[in-house]
Amino acid sequence: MMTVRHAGLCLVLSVALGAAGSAQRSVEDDKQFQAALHKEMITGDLRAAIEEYRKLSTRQGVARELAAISLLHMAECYQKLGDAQARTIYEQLLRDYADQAQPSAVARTRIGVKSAVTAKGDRAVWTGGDVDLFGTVSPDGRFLTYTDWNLTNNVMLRDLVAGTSRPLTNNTTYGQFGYSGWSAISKDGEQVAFEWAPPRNPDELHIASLRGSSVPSSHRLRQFEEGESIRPFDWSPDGKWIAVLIERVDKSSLIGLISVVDGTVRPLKSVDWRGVNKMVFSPDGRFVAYDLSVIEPRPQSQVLVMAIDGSREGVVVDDSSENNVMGWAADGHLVFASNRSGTLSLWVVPVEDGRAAGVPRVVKENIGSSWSLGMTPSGTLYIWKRASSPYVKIASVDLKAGQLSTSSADTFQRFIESRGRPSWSADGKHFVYISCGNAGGGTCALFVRSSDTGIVRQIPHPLRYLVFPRLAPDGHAIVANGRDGKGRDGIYLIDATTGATSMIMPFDRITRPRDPDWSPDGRAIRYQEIHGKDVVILEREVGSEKTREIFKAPVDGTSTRRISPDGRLVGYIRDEPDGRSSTFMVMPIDHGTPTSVLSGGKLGFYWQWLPDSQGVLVTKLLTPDGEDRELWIVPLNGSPRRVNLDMHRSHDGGLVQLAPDGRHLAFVATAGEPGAEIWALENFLPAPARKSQSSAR
Amino acid sequence: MPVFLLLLTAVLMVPLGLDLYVPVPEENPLTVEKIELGRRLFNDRRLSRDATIACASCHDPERAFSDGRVTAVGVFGRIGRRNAPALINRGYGRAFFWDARIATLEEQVLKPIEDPSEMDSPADEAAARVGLGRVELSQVLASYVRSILSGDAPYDRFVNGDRRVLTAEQQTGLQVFRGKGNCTACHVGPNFSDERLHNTGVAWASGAGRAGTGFSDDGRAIVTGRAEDLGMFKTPTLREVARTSPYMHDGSFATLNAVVDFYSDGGRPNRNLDGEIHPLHLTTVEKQALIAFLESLSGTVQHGIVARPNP
Repeated sequence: MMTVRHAGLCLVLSVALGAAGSAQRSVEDDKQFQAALHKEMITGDLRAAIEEYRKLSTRQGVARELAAISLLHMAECYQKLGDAQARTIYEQLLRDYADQAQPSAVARTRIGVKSAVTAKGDRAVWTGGDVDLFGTVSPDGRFLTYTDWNLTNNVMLRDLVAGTSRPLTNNTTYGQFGYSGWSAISKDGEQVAFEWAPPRNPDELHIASLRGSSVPSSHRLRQFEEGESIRPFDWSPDGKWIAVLIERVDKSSLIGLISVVDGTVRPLKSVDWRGVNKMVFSPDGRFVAYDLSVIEPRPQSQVLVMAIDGSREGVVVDDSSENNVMGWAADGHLVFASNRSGTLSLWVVPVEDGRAAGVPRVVKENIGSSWSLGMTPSGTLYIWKRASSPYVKIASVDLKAGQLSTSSADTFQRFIESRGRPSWSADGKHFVYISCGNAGGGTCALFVRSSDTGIVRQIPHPLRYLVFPRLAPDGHAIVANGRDGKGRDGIYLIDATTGATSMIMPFDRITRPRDPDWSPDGRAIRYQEIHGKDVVILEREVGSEKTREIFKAPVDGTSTRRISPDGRLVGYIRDEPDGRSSTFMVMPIDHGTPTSVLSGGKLGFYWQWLPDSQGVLVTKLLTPDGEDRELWIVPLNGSPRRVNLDMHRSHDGGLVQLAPDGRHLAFVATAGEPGAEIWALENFLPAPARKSQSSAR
Repeated sequence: MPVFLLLLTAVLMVPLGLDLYVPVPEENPLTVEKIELGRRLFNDRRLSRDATIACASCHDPERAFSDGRVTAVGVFGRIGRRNAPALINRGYGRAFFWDARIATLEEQVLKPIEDPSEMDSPADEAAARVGLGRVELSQVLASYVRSILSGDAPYDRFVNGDRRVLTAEQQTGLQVFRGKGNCTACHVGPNFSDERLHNTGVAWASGAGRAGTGFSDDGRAIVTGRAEDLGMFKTPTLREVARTSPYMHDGSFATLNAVVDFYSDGGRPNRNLDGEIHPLHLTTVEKQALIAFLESLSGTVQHGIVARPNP
C-alpha cells in the first residue's frame, strides 16, 4: 500500500521535474527539497530541516505541489519535536493549499488526531528481524504463527508474552523437508493450518497441533496440482472449514473453503487474476468477508460478504478507495482499513445477516500501512507494520581503506515502501530501483535515477511484480524477473523510456530461469538455469531466440553464479551442509577447479564482484536471523577488510550495490528503527461492541 | 468421483469444476417454478413474430445450446450476422453478446426476441402471447439460462485428482494450453473465459469492412464508437467446445483444427491486434494434443431442475 506521504513525494517530484519550461528551477527546488529531506531523515536535525522547508515553501515561483508538501514535512518536523507550531502549519496548509488533495488530506487527519501507535491501548508486542506477516494470532492473543525466512523456512510459533519462538516444522536447513508460507491458527487456538511444499513437489495444506513444546507431526489435508498454490486465511468458528485462496495453474484465483475433515474444496468464487488480500469468517461462521480489487492495478477495492454455502454475495464496502479486510468483531462489526479519507485508517461497518446494516465509520485514524494478523474475540486487532520508511542512500566509499563517507551521502525517497534492489548501469550514469508494497509484495514501481542530474524518473510498466532490475549498459532498457498482470512469471525486457514490456523467457519450474543481466556489450541477456545437477549460464541475443551456453558447472550447494566483469571468473557462495556456514568460491569460467576465497561464518545472499574483478563485496551474517550483518571487501589475493557501514537490521536483505566507479555504494536505509513490528490495537471498536466483548470473555 | 460436487442453493446443483456461487440478482431469486417455466418458454415458438422460432432453435440442448450453423437463422429465413454462441454457464457471465453490449442476463434474454434478424417480436407482445408481462418473461428466461451448466468434464475430474481420466495426449495438450499455446491468457478460470474483449484478427478484412474500417464486423466498436475497439469480441467459453462448431463470432472456422492453426500462426495481424496474439509455432503433435485436450472439456450439460443424486 502506498502511503499518502509517498504519493505526495511522487507528485511533487514528478511535477517539479516534469515542467520543461522551468526545468532548471525545478531541479534547484528539488535539490533544496532533497537537502531538507536529508536533514529530516538522515541527520535528524529537525530544526534545520524546518528552516529548509520554510524557505522552499515561501520561495517565489515554487510549484504549489512542492510548497504544499514542504509545509507538510515542516509540520511533521514540528510534531516530532512536540512543538504546537505543527498545528499552525497544518492549518496553513489546509487554508492556503486546499487544492493539493493529498497533502491536505494528511493535514486534515493530523489535526487533533493522535497517531494510532500512540493511542491508549495500543502496544507493540514484537519487534525484530524475524517479524513477518504470513501468520495469524491465537484467540487469546498470546501466540502468533510466522515463517522463518532467514534460516530454515520453518513455520514458527511466537509466544508474544514469553518472547520465545519454536518451530512447527522440522527443517534444520533452509527448505530441507519443505517450503512454508502462509499459516492460520484455529479459532480454539489448538491447531494451525499451513502451506507446505516438499522439495520438487506441489503445494500442500497441512494441519498440526499447537499443543506441547516439541515440533508437532502434521498431516497433509490436501495436495494441490503442480503449479497451484494455497493460502489459508481463517478457520471457521466450529473448526470444520478453512477459508482459502487457491491460485490455479492458469494463475487465476479461487476463493473457497477446505473441509478440515477430508480436504475437499468448496469452490465459492473464481476471481480471475486479481486475488484477495484477506478473508475472514463471520463470528457465527455463516459468512466470509473478503476484499477484491475492482480493476487491476488501480488500488481500488471492495469488501464483499458471501454465504459459506455460496447462495449469495453482497458488497458491504464500496467506494473509489482501497478497502482491505482486517477482521470481524464478535458483535458483528466488520473491521477494514481504508484510505478514503486520504490516509489509511481503521473503519467499521455493522453487518447483519451478511448485509451492511449501517454506514462505515472511522474508528482509528492514520494507522499507516499495515497488515492484519487477525482479531481476537475480545476485540484486539493485531497488525504488522514497518517500523519506519525506507529510502535510497548513495554514499561514497574508499574501498582500500574500507571507509564509508556518510557525510557526502546522497539520499532520496520516491515511494520506497519495501524492496529497493538498487542496481547501476555499466556506465554508472543511471541507477535503477524498485518500490513495492509495504509488505514486500504488491505492484512494484520502477524508477531510474540519473547520476548526473539526480532526477528520478518513474518507468511505467504493466508488470505486477518484479525483482532485481538490471539496466542495459547504456541505460536504454531494463531486464528483470517479474510477473505480469495475468500472473505469468518470467524474464521481462522493459524499455527504459516508454515502459514497453515484453517477456523474453517464461518461467519454467524445472529449469528455473533467473538472475538475468546484460552482457557487457548490451546485445544479449545472460541468465541462469538448472539443467539436471548443473547450473548453466546462458546468453540470449536481444531481439532473437538465439541462445548459447557460456558456463556450466555442478550446482555445488547453490545455483547462483556471477561472472566477473572481465569475463574470466565465476563466483558463488556455497552453503555448507551444516546450514550455519558458507564458503565463497571462485572458479575460471572455462571449467577449472573451484577454490575457496573466504570461509567460516554465514554469508548473506547478496554479493557483488568488484569492478576490477580482483575481489568481491559480501555480507557476513552475525546473527542467525540476519539482523546484524557486516559488509566486507574480499580480495582474491589479500586480506578481507570490513567496510564501516552500519548494517544492523538493514533493509532489503542487506543488499548493497557498488557503482562501476568503485567509489559509491547504493543501498536502502531507514530513517528510524528498521524492520517491522507487530502491534496490538485495542479499545477502538464502537461502544456497543465493547459491551459484547465483555460478555464474550 | 461424484458427478455433482456441491449444491448451490435449494434450487441448483452445481457440477464439478464450477463455482458454487452463481450471481443471482436480488430482484430475481431462483425458484423451481421460474426455472421450469423458463425452460418451457425457452422452447416456445410463440415468442417469435411468425411463431416458428424458439430460443432453442438456435440454442439446441442437444448441441450444448448452440446450433451448428455458421450464423444464426431467424424468422422468415433471415440470416444473422453472428454465430449463435453456446449458451452454457452464462449465469457466471459479466457481459453478454459477442460485443459485450449487455450487462445482465435479464436484459440479454429479451434481445433475441426483439432482434429483427432473430425472433423479431416486440418483447411486450411476445410476453403477452404466453400470458406474462415483459419483466416476468425476462426473469423466467434468465432463471432458466442460469440453470444451464456444463461441468464434470474429464478435465474437471483430472484437476480434482483423478489422474487417469485424461489420456497422455490430452495431458500434453493441457500443458500446451497452459504454456506454449498461451491459451490461458484469455481462456481462464472454471469457465475458460476472462469475459473480456480481444481483437484476434478474425474480423480483419483489409478494407472490406463497413465505412472503410477494414473490419468485416466492427465488434465492440459498434457499442463504444472507439477506433481502438474495432474488431474486438468477447472471449467465448471453451466448455463443450468440441460440440459447438463452427467457431468464432462469425462461424468462419468449421473445425478446431482450423482454430488452432489460426492461433498458431499468430491470428490475423491488424492495427488493433491483441498483445497476447503472436505466432506460437506449434508443432503438428502439439496441435493435435491441444485439440485432444479441448475435447476433454465436454462434460455434463444440465439444465432446468436437476434431481439430486442419492446420498
